[in-house]
Amino acid sequence: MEEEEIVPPEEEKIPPILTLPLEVHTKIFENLEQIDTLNFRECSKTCRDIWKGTKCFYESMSWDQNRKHIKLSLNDSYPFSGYSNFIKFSNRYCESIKTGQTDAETVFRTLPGLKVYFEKARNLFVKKLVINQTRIKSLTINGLCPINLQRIKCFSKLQYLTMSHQDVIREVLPKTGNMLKYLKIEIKEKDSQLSEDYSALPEFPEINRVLELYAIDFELTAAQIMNLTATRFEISAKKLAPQDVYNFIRTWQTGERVLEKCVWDLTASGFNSRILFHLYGFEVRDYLDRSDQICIRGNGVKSGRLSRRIAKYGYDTLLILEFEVLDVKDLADENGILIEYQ
Amino acid sequence: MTDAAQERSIKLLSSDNETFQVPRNVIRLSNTINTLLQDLGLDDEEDAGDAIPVQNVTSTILKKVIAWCQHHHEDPVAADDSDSREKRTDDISSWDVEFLKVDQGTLFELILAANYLDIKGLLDVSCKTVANMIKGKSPEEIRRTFNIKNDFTPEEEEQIRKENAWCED
Repeated sequence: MEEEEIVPPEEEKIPPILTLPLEVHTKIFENLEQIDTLNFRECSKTCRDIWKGTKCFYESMSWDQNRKHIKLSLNDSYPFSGYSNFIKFSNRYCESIKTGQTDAETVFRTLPGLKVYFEKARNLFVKKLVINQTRIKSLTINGLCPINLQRIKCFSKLQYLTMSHQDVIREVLPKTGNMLKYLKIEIKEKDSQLSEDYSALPEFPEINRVLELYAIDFELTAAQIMNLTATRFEISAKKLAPQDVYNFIRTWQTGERVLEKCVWDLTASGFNSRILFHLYGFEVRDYLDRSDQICIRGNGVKSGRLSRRIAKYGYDTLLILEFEVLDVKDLADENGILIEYQ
Repeated sequence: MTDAAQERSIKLLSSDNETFQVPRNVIRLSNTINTLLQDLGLDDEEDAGDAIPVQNVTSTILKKVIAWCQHHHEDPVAADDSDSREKRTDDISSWDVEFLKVDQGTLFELILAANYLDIKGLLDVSCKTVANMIKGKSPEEIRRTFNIKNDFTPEEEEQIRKENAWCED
């Protein structure tokens, strides 16, 4: 019998551009605008990996801002303590500038991988911070710079984000070590009085669209009890269903059915207000899903009413939680938590 | 530099065993060769001795690299201010444009040679040339230009597009 010749499959030739060393790719990317590198990234998996590989890596980035200066530091290096108009430290990307809007934008434009947009009306505030080529592990935002989470666009797998300004420290820590999967927020309040200028609670819809958050866990701690006006807090999650809302509420505070002795203390941006909501010994008894509302009933002593609404926002489902603190007498005939669809 | 030093030459041996005699002041643009000669204590020697093997570079490419160095060895040294420089790729001299009008294989081999020999100017200009081949092109056009196969699943492609759109805001 004639032996069949085995022909080895022709090896697929790797395009030469993909075989270049990473330092060369980095050099090529240095000559490209962001849009071009993103288009390159979109070509194939190898291109995407190259794009990832060429990004700088820093353990930490810190953004520190007050009315007189902005300091941006990578890898926790502040090599000086004084502030001058514009001092640039080569290879460290550490800047200190007076916050003249034009100056600041000019300076930050020179930093590779970082784009900063300042609020036109109030140039003290950063409108948007885009980190697209600099891979960083942790980002710290200090001072009077309430950049909301939704204004931070970061392509890297940011692992730690700490926001602190004035009297509020907000820490966002991923439970699994990866922000893409889980977030845990801890709000520690040092001072009960918040200036309306500086209050800003992270808002999640935008960051969720990018980071694909599927679960958010909030751990809110504060001891002080105050009667203040209403505010709201927004959380987005993909394909949020009534049952999810119920589960979310149920597991939010304690991870159990019993919402016992919980104290929620939230500060929200845009509302310039502060809210404390207290439920003492509240136990979820049943849960009713109607076409236009969800009602959760429970037993216990209440000192507040919680109204939660679900609304459509963009292509994500948005859960809006509204908290209202009412006088106890107003709650005399209330016996539950009302959730309404919007 | 003395006249003698300027006239001195060294020999380079390509990966396919071709020897090239190169004036020392021409190949000075290669930091790799400079370091090698200094480390071996041959920098001031009249005769650098045996040919220096340039193992990663073929004779065809080495010939081009030497030609580039020959043309540029008297250029003023550019200030190293890569951190703050503008992203410009339209500042390639017409001689370099002509020099780099080669097929992609040769261009990438030149880049590799410039990288290996640490010739900053050549690496810069060749990388700019590649950057110009990417600039302003859609992903599909870039794929066609460099013969890259799209191996994303439709879902992955959609995802990456979404991310890009978000970043371009």
